[in-house]
Amino acid sequence: MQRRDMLKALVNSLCVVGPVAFASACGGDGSGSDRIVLYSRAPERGNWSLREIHVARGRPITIDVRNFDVTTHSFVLPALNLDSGFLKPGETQEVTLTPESQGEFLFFCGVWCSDYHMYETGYLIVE
Amino acid sequence: MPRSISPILAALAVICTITSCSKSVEFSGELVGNRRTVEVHVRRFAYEPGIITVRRGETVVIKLVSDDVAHGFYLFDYGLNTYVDPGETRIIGFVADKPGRFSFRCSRTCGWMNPYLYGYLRVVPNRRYHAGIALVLLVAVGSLLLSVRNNKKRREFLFGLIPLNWRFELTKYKPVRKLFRSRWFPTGLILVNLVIFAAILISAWMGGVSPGNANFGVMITWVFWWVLLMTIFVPLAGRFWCMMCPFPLLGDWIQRGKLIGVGREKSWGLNKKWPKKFRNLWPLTLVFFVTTLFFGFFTVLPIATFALLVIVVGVAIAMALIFEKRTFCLYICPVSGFQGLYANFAAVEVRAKDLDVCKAHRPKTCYVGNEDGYGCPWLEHPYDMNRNTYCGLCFECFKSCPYDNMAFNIRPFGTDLLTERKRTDDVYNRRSTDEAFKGLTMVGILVVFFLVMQGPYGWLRDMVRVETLKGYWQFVAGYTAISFLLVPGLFLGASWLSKLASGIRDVPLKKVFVEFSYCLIPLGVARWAAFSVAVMFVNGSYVTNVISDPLSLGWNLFGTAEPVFRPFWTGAIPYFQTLLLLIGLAFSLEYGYRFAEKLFGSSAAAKRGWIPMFLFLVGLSISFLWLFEG
Amino acid sequence: MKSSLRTALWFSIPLLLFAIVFFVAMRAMTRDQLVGVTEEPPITITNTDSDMPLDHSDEFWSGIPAATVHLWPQNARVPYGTEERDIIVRGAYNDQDIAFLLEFEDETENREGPLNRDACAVFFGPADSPATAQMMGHGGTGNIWHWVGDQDTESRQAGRDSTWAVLELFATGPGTQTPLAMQNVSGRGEHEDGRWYVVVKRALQSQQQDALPVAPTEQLLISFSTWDGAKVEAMARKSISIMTNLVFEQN
Repeated sequence: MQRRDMLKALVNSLCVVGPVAFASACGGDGSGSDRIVLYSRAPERGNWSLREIHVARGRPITIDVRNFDVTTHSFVLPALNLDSGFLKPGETQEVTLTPESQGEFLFFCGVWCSDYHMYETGYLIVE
Repeated sequence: MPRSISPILAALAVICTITSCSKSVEFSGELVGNRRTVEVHVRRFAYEPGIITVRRGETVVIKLVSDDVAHGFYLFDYGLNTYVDPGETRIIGFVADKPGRFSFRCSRTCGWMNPYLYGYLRVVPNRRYHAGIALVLLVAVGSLLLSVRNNKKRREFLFGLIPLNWRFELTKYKPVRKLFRSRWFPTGLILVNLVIFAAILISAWMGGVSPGNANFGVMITWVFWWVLLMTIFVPLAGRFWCMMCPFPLLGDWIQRGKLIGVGREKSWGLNKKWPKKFRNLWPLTLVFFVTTLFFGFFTVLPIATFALLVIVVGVAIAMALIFEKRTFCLYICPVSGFQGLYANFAAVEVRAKDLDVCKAHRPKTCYVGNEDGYGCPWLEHPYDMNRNTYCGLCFECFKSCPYDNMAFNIRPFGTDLLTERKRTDDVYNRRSTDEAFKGLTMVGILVVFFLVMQGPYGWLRDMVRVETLKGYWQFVAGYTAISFLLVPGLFLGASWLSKLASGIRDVPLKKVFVEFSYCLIPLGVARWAAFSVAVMFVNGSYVTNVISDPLSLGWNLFGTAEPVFRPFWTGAIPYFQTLLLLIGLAFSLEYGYRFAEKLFGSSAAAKRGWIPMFLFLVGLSISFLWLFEG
Repeated sequence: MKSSLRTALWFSIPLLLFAIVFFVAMRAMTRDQLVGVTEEPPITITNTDSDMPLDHSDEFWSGIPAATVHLWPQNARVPYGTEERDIIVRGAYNDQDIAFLLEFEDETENREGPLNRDACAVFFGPADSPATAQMMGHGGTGNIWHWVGDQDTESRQAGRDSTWAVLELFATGPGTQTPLAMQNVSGRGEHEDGRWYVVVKRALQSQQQDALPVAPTEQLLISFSTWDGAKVEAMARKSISIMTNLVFEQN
């Protein structure tokens, strides 16, 4: 009887911890998989959620660029001629790319979003 | 001397009202011909100036300048919407042909406090407000005439029309009875809500510190749930939410060992009893007040909503392990206090049908439980319960009663306000200061909520969002003083005047204070509903956005995921608010005079003693009318 | 009485604790936190008594300390820049003139046409300009000294004045560049071993309308930009540095 009760307590606590653990798993950076979420934020509010994205050469990758910030941003990767277009607060834009050559490629926000806009940069690192 | 105090007070009140209406106004900007040009700067989170005053018929040109990030400008009722980018100037031109006070709000997600970025456009003369005051006075005079016509028999009728003892028993229908006796009711509803609650937690966690406008957790909790709670659940059905609240489910499960069926009656945990001294609304009043100190965070920030909900659920589970039954709901849950108090106004009740059946029944299974249902989880005595405050509508007594003697009634609004609790085996049987203070603190809380969430004052919002620590402490100090000193102090003053005017010496002042505090309840329910209605009309479109993509995974379930700010019926808000205030005032005055009679005995003393309290209530209504649309 | 006090404490201490933890956590989360922002070092220019030649190979320039300035692709409007570059900047002033030597890598020498020419520019704005002034004086005003390869060639071949090689412009935002009535900035560019060496020079003071004095008495911001004609860089497609303070070294 005692053991069954403890089992129930365990199930109960899992009910609470479960969603949280699931959420944190979803919210992880997911770097290295085929699909990643990239938050665009002005530098004073955290800058790009990933300032370095590591990807493998020749493997297609989808980036969900999500603007959870308070001003319009965009995602521009000139080396691969990628531009997400304006992302208003709350919007998400999917960007798919297949890096063909090794190297570090600069990406940045293409909208004057903040006094620190010039610093909103990151690198796509192709290995 | 005390007898002449009431006419003096009445005369003073009339003079105050007249002078406040005829106060001269300062207009904004520059007037050239018929064109008024106003430069408005907008920053996070204030319009500068926050209040624009123009004369009706003028052509208004607003030069909107953004001082920091991208902002917007949505003018209620007029329906104008403009966006402005940093460093830009936008010109908005319109003819101010509608008189009254109109809010304008930032229509772009400019930060976490964006939903509170308000300003006011006052188009004078504010006829709507003046008409509102006239209506308040009309209701007041009408109520006075009704109550002064001293007729004991009439007093048995609400507004001289509806008998106070009128009941419509919903459980006389067999399907309803069957539903209430089913063990799946209301647990089934709770399980549905648990799924929604899990989605709220996940999305609120994932939302982090991003603005809550596009967050399922924040929007469902603080726009959808809160508005539903304050405009429908609480006014009509009291603790209706408690019936289907998922918070205590896990605790119940631990205690009972069964989710649906009837498990053990005695908790597996420590099963302690809550100390007698604190079996009242004081703990709830304090917990709710302390929680509201952080409303600037948790009503807009997903991660703060998450933290608050996790703390509440965590405490609920911990309490379930330590204390018996629903001690958490009774004495800790932040939203339980006002629901309990305002449930006395609600139009539904759970009562025993035939008290004689209950008297003969031993043991009282509705309190101790049997194989069909648990003894009252809310620790009430359903067999002689006569007030709603501590009844959580869990319907266990319907299941545990072998005689089918429980009824679910629809009744006239507010009849519980008149009743003294029958039960005498604990300390919270009396009408006492705990319930009085719960009612009184809700006044200050609403004023601060309104000024921060829908007011034009940026400095107040800066204080609440902890722009500087010092500002925040000033806010905490001021807010506490208003809620616990100023409002109760004014009310105590009114009670003192009332006692003085009545000429009755042997009534304790405390009794006057407590008794009259119950006439704040209908007005309280009404003004919270009035405040919340605006929240829904203005922010409702966010709810449609988030339900299409609850976990922000890029879904579009209902085709409404596009993040847009689309308020509706903004022109109707002031009319709704006036109407609700008038209804609340009518009920407050209707019950208030009965309290005066109860307190002061003779009808002559009651009439004299009623005047100061009457003026207080009318004044309070006009103050709220001013707050909402003046 | 004693026991009820204890209960009250049992009740209020956890309440306060939760409140404080909640407050501290939320406050910390809602503060602005700069990520990836570095303070830009100021550009310091040397005071000298001698003349400042337009010829970069003159030994005068080898005596002037050099600073490396990082240029980012222009990233605020279309067409965006594409290249990150490091350029070397030397600056000097005497009691009349002020001059800069810009040195940057460029494999090809392009001196033809407005869309394929190599070019570089120096931007000045008042120190109290808003941050948006980075975008050519947007929200404020600024002067641009724009050296362009094709006009440098023309100024030599047609025997024109060396001021023909540099456009002296006034701007209050992107697309608002307006040539000043008098073109007072002289300049000279040489391409050697895959590098450009460009000298631009003007009098410290300028009396004409819209021209900023660039003198030790002024508080100014400065930034640099370059265009690589071989990579079809023209107009907005360029690399720019982040605005920083211009410091006049005093003797």
